[in-house]
Amino acid sequence: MLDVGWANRFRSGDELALKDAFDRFSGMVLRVGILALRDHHDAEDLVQQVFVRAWNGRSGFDPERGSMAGWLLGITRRQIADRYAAMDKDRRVIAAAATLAAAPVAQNSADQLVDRLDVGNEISRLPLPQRMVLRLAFYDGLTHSEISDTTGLPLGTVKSHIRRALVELKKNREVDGAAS
Amino acid sequence: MQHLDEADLILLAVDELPDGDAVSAHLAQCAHCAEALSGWRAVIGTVRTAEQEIGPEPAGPHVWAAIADQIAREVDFRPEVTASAADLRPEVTAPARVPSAASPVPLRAPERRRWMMPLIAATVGALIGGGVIYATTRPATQSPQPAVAVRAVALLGPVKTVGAAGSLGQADLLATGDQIELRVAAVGLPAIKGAYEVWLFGGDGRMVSLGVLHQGQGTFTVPDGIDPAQYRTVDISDEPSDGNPAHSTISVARGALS
Repeated sequence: MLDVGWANRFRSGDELALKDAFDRFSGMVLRVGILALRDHHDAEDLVQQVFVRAWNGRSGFDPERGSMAGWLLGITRRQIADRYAAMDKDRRVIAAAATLAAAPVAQNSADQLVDRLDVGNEISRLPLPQRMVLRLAFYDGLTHSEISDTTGLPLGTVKSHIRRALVELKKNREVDGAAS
Repeated sequence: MQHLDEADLILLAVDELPDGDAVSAHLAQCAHCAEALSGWRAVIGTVRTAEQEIGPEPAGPHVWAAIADQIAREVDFRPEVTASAADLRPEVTAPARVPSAASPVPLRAPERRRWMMPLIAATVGALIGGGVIYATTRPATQSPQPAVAVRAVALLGPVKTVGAAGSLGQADLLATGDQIELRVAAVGLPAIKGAYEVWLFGGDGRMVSLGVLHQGQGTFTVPDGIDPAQYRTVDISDEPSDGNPAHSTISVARGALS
């Protein structure tokens, strides 16, 4: 989708190329942001910041050296680190104590698309952090280590989110299979 | 024989293999675990398919709008400085004929994302610093020219504010009798290939050229019909002698009148 022609358009300052990247990767950045910052609004701020930075630094993107997704993740990681550094200690404690479940579920019309796939509905009913991590792993294609590095979640937590999500989805399939 | 546990099987199924050859050795001879593994692989395949169906789930359109707006601010010459420096304006003896427009124009307060605040704070800091210098270097008493009133001051700075933004002088908006003038006193402008041209930018991307700046100094008449309340940004551009009267898009200094 984002091929060499796209990279040339992006680097030469075509705003539509940035929109293409937004359409494809802003969800990934948002998911990382939700997991790292534990606040949907802050995560949207992060998305804005990352894509503006990407735009301003577009001449530094080299498709020969890495993917757009990886490049954006690098920017995302630095922005999150800056935010943590700027956060005062009190806020850090609060952020650490905040429960991810309190974050609002991202609104989208995608639910309608997955009606024909039960598992899609089951995924949407998973707890938010499990769903975010599952998407980062199986849609955005991040390794467990990459998810851990960018979100700040311990590697073991990333793995257990994926495991619990898969156990839940498998269990539902087996129940469905037994009932039919 | 001890079977593989669920966590190992799942890691195998998502292609992040757990350590040890013992695992693969066990799988090769244990039908139970091999079947369990294929069960997990089937689940994961279904999940991948479902995730593809869901699609990228981009951030909301309001986020894109904010990005596009911010990018536009940085390229289409809209004023970047919105902080008010009204409090910093030097005292001037206002003659009786100063029109009512001399009162500070209410500044719009565009919604700024929180992370923009350090930039604004830095700008305000620069304004305060410039204001102090301005106030202390100006004669304590006004020269006896009651017909001239300083209506607004723009402190000029680099357009690309990377790191500390040094001062590049200032521009004063003057009311002289029945016309409005802009007096520019720029210092330390970067060397350019073309000519320095002075512009006023409106709040919506409109702009008007006031003329060419020589030696950093010049006083320009603001054309009739240009309302200084609407054109609040002073810009100095690098204009090549290419016959094109439009702004070259290369700005070397800018400041907001307030």
